[in-house]
Amino acid sequence: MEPSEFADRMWSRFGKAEPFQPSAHYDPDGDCLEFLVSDEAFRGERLDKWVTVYRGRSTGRIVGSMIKSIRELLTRNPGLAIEIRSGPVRLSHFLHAPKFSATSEVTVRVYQEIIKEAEDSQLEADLQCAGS
Amino acid sequence: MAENHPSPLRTDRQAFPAVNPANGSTFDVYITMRRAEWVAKRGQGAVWEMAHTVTEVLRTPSAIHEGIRWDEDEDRGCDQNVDSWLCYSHRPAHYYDPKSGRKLPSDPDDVFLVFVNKDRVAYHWRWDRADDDGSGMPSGHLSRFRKKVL
Repeated sequence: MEPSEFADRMWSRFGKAEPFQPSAHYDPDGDCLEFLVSDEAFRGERLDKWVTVYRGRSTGRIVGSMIKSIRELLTRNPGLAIEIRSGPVRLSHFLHAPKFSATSEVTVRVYQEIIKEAEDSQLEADLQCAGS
Repeated sequence: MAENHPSPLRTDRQAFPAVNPANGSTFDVYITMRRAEWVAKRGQGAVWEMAHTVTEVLRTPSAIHEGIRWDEDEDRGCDQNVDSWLCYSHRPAHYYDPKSGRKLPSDPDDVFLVFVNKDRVAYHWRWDRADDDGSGMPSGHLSRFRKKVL
């Protein structure tokens, strides 16, 4: 399928004319959890082995993040694995797990910024398939 | 990674040609409908990025790195720590604003990354800063990947 046709089909099938809403998404193909609080174009900045921060191209603000190796995070944090079985979890809670392995003050500060964005947006993530 | 092989047609994903780092030939990499639905939430420009930028980088990468789940604390020389997940990288001439769909010149210091798992699913992509060593490679390329395969 040609790219233009693919784009047209995907927009026709999934596109919506509504205003952007902050959201979170777990993808089992990558075992990673992404969240976005803005539709601003962004660049990624790899923070550590767990987290890549998304910074807005224009504003430099944190507009989202990707957390990878979710299953490994759950293995290392059994309490978190138990919590996700009950249903969607607050993203801000989940982000504390990788933060505790941060090795520098700078990294911890960026984690705190990410957690604040997640708290302000009150995003939740359904990670039950990651824990199974 | 395995070469192209006959498999039942799946409607939950779309195949696109990508460079096979094993031998430079072409094999299929897939974008899932699940991923497409998430991307569409960002706007039409994000869908165009998926359709045009991602497929361009898969088709004409400047580099492919292997072992993207490699733990930097582990022995780099130990083969059993290698995972076969790939990162395709390239700097297309333009990026798409996700909301407006405007096509804008890319920054010379940027690079577009496409991450592919062992099942050849492109599960993630994004713009990153290129390494400041002037190579055009992704930032931190010497330490964050197991090895460069193309």
